[in-house]
Amino acid sequence: MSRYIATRAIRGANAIVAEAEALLQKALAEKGPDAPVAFTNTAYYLPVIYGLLGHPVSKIGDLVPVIEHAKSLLHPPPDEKWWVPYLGETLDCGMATLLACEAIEGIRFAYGEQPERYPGFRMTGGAAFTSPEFEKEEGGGGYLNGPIDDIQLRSWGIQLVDGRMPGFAAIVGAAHSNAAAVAIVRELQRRNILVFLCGNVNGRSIIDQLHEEGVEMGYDTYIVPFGRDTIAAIYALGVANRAALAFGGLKPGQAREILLYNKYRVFAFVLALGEVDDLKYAAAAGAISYGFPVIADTVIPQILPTGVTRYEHVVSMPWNEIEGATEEEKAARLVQKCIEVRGVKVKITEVPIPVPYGSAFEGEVVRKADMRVEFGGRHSRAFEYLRMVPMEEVEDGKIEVIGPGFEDVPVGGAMDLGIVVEVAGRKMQEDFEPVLERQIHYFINGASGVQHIGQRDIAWIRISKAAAEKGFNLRHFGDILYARFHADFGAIVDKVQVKIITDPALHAEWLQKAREAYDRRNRRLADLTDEAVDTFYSCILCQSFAPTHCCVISPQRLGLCGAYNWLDCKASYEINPTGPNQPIQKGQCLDPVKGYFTGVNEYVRVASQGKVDQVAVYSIMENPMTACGCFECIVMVIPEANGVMVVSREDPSMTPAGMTFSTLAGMAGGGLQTPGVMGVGKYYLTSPKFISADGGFKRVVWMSSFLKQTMAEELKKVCEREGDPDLLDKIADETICTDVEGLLAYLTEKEHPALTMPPIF
Amino acid sequence: MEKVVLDVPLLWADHHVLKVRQALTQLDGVEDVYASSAWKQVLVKYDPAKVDRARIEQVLAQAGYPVGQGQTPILVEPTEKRRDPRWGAMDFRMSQTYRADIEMSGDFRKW
Amino acid sequence: MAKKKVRTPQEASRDPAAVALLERALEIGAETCFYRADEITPCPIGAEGLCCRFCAMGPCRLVGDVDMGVCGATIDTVVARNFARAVAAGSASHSDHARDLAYTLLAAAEGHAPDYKIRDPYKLFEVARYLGVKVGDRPINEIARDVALAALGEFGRVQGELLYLKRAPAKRQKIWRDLGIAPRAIDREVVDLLHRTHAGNDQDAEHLLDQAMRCALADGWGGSMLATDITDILFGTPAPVRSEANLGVLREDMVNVIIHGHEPTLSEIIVAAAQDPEIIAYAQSKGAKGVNLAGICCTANEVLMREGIPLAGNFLQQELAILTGAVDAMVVDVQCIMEGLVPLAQRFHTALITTSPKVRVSGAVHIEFDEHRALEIAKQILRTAIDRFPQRSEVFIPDIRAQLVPGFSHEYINYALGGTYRGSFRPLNDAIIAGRIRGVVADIGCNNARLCHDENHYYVVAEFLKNDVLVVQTGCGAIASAKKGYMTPEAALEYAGPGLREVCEAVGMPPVLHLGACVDNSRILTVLSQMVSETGLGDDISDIPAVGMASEWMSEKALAIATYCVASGAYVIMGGVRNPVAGSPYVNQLITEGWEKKVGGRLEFLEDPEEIVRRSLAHIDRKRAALGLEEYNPAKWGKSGDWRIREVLELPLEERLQAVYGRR
Repeated sequence: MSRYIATRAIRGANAIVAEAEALLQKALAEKGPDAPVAFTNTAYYLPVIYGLLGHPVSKIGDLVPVIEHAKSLLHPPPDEKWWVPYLGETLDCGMATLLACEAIEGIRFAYGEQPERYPGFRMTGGAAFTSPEFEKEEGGGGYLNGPIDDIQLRSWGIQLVDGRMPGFAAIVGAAHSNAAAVAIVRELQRRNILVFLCGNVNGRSIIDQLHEEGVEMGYDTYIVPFGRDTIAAIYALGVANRAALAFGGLKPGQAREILLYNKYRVFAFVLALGEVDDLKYAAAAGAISYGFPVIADTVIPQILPTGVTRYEHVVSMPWNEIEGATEEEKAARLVQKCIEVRGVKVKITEVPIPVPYGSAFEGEVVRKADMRVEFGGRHSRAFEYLRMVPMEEVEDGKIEVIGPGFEDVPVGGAMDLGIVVEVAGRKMQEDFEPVLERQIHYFINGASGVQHIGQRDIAWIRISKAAAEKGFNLRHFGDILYARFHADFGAIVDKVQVKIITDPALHAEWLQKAREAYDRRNRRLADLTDEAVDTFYSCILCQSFAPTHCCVISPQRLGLCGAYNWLDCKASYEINPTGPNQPIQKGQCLDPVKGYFTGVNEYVRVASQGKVDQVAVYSIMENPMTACGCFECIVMVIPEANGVMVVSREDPSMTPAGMTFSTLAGMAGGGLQTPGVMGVGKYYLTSPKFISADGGFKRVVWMSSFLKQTMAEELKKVCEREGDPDLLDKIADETICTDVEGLLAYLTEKEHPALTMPPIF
Repeated sequence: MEKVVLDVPLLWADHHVLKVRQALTQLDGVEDVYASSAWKQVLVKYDPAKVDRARIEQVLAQAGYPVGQGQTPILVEPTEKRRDPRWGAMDFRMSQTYRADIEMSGDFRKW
Repeated sequence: MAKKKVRTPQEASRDPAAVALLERALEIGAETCFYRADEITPCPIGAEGLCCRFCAMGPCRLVGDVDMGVCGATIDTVVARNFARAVAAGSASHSDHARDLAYTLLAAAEGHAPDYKIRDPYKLFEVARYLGVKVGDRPINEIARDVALAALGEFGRVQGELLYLKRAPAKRQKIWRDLGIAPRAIDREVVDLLHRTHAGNDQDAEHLLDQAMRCALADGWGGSMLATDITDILFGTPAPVRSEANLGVLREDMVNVIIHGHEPTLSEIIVAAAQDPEIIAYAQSKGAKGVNLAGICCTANEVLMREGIPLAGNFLQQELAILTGAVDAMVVDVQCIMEGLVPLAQRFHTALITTSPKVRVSGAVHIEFDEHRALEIAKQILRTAIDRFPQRSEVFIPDIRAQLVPGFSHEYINYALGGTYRGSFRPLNDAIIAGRIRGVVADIGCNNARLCHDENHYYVVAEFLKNDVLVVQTGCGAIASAKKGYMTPEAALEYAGPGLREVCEAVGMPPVLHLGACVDNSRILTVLSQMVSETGLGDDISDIPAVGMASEWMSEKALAIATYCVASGAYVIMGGVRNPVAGSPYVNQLITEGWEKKVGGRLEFLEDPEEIVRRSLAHIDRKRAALGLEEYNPAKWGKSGDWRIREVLELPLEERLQAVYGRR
């Protein structure tokens, strides 16, 4: 701390704790101690308080001891002369500030003042899709986001651990100008850093600035507006705490561990834009305890010695003194500094296209009204096909556009498109074709103003008017793919050439070739069974977050995050032989039904640091596989129904187990073996090896309707395979029942096979 | 047009800025407001024909931000010798490196 | 005999308050230790350790052609024996101090000493853990009793080794065990060493010195560490306070009571008694405004660290305090009390009051302290002092005092570097690794009347600060820096190099940390051990870029401290006076190269303060290089701080709103 900062932070902490206490007294008087307090969709109560103190707050009265604790952490500000040390004191005051801020937001929730009203505002892709209660107005608009919900947090999990999302930036205040605001946020997006927005300067928030400039904000664009004051910054630390609890396997109350976890594993920083007041200093002191440094675009005292954070604690980069002719250049330098100070390793692939590029733009939606042209969808046909060819047939970097461009297509029109990528490499294998081909979706989506949906011959691409105006054309698809394949898969791909085909005759010809290849691949996949291979793969990518968790990925059981199947792992191992995906020799099969293999057990024992002794790959009842926290679904035994239920991450409703997904996730995650509960990838449901030791898919008695709808086709095939084509209808969902009684009634009525199967225990 | 800089000790955070601005911008004759929580000052530009400084100060006081009055509460009182009386009461007595500090440090982002 | 050259006051001390009083002494013709030091030539034979008076066949002076005593003891044996005897006496002093505290804790826990209570239960739990005492839900007094008994058990431990050894880094413990110098029981090691140094016993210099290390370790990791811990339990773990130092803290209008010696047991109660309304009223009845306490030596440091009681001065100022004529009573307990106080006190109105059952001084008033009736005795002592107040004649108090912020227990340093939730030594280690802090120096120990008072302390500390070396101090060395103003937080801005300044500004601490009394050198061992386990600075104390020194040493305790620091892996320099093992080049080689090979630390005696600084910095840089740390480069640091925002603050609001974004 500098004494200047310490003085202000300690003063701010005293003030905010006093304010929280007054507010609490008011709420106790007006609402009573039993009035409920809850953030949107979270199983972690008020997550900062819950994490640090282990104290679940669910009603106003629960906040009383929290404020008492906050008060016990306060200190007087240092003297002007002959002062006594203040660093530890300031950090304690910072923690008190966080507790007070979260208490205030909790009370505001109780009063319906959070999430903050913001007339005319709309989140990209709607407000938190899991929060229907906030969608009542203006078709999902009118409110800022408020806290992040558990579902979104978990779905970000895998991106946080595999480095696609290096960390988050909490921006507090307002930028020097609107242009600067946009430039800073774009720089962060370009690096796929999640951006949280809050605070204001003279009443203007960066949220206002971005809103005015038409920047899309929402989960999908990695920009989340929390609220227009600094108190809302607490939601960022709520994310930090929950990351430690959900992925790190830490327990509520392990305050020090949670803070350390964040220091070493969550790459976050605070960007203070504009003048810094007492509360901002106080909240920053709280962030520093998490190891999150603070970078300001104004003159503030710097704290450069390291230790509580990994590198410098507080860095000042006055905006006018940043080198650079334009706001963009200044923003780039500022963000670069943030990243250095936090010690985030960010790999950016320079993609030579006229629009911004980064995975933060992956979720961007191009609406019909904003669309320049589309390929695929209802009015045209688009496909993409990647194949390996002999070395000599590829001219590296060659990008051909065969046929007309979209210049002549009327605005809002459609045209046919084929993207053919040909790769060659000494370590390339035919098995990797689908692995690489699937990347096309992510690569193309990274361009701002371009939307990509689907794959193979159901691909659907849109280019926005804005992107087209900036000069984005068909050739740029080739530029993107060429750059990214080299950057990300350079270990297996030596040469890449791309054909963009719009010529009708050629389009038809290549489409035919592609379809033959898709067919061939499907057959190959069908042949690819666990018995047919000697090697499974491990995935310990998540050990950076869940240190004892290890996924065992077999051809018939993909990773629980849904992002890695056996082929992906095989390719990943080729790309990085010392990476997170290692081959596991199956070894001797000890039990083909439950799926015990000597090789798997040995590997897991080591990889889990002795926490897990053995794993039954096909069972939920006996030594089930552990989970990190980023699973797509949770499978859990319902003993009364003699079956299991499957809850999807997207489903916020109550389940027959009496718990929501968020609560269940606490039991399933953290690298612990809990018989009867398991986190899985949703496509595992379609595998013949899905809990095959316990009876397979027929055991499913309840399933989130989200799964039933989005996977209707695949599940139908599974039911047929199981010899009960109507099985899907016999499975209940949250629209039918959310309790055991209702479930049993429904199962009995539908004569669900689980009722007559042997007891699951 | 005239301008005045007012000291507002209770303007110590940006949620107060929103309230101060709300109070002042509604006032007829106030043309521009800069409410600074960092410096706890408010700059008001106003039309003296329509509003005067006394009225501005009155509105601020009504909104709970009296000019030149009050200060943020300090909940812990220091003594002359012990400027920070708290430490003795807190249960922090560490004399060894905390195990998790070492276990959790290191290079985690291997991939 | 020809009159020796007597130093002028300016030559005798660097402290202006001391100089003023030495002038006063000349004026009134009073004799002080400074004068006596000039008068008495140190025995040149004894000074080099060559006088053997262990039996009645001697004393044998091993000088000139004599290279063997009557019994055949060689120079090497005699020199080593003399050194070892000193270590034994020093260890005994610290450890016996600890024993008394443990008995006080026991009495307090059992309810026999109602004036004492467990002021720091958290520390009690921490200590209980180390001593293997169960905490659970048991009542505090039960835990305290068991801790006291466990501590007392360490003195006469029957089997095994001292429990506190496990607080050292694992590698260090192994070195001790492999060398067979892991102390077994505190008393046993002292007795063992006394036994060995008796005539006709251990007559191998190296073997003698090994036991000297074991005995010293029993002090550092035994007696001293227990003394520190138990004092914290009884009187609170220190945290920063504000206080003042030097003779200017004496008050003309109040009854001045100086507490002098080393034990906090009585003085803590005196502190409480001085605030008792009954005592204040009694003082007022005699025309004083109240009772003003001030301390000298380590009793002073103990009550300074915990209660903020001001420092009157260090060891060489005990006589000078009386010369002010303003000291109504000087209450002494144990250690470092000059008998020369008696004639001085008699010249003035001062009551010299001895209190320890172990220490009586002929001519002094004896009011024996008994912890079972502590407050009652403290009041009796204060009344004696107050009764002397009306007898004051001329008062001469130099108006010289300096502010300071002491109170750096290792627990507080931990807290200061991260708060309740993140406290650790990481920031300190980081600062050393990065090179903001070049290294750490502990400048501790005494004053020596043969040297210019405080000169070496002032010089080395200033040099180290300039060179970005963090200085920690205890004992009379600490008091010297306090008087010089090095222990104010502002001193970081004035005296420290750019890197150290940044760290001090970040923490808000002075560049010189006051760690407490001389038994609290054990805190330095704890700090060093924790720096090791915090990682990044090697895996043993000997890897850390740190140096220990007593730049004006004089006592046997200082030798014991030096020896346990060396045996713990530190490079230690004893400054000022002659090398007490100079008589034997072999022994000198044993404690330097020999010990360095064995335990990684070495002990050197250097008279020249410039050489002390040179060698210390060289050692620090060598250790940095061995750890692969970046070379020290002060040009890289100094960019943080408050100066720039202060410029912005000067501007009117409208300009300020622009100025925060920097210059275009």
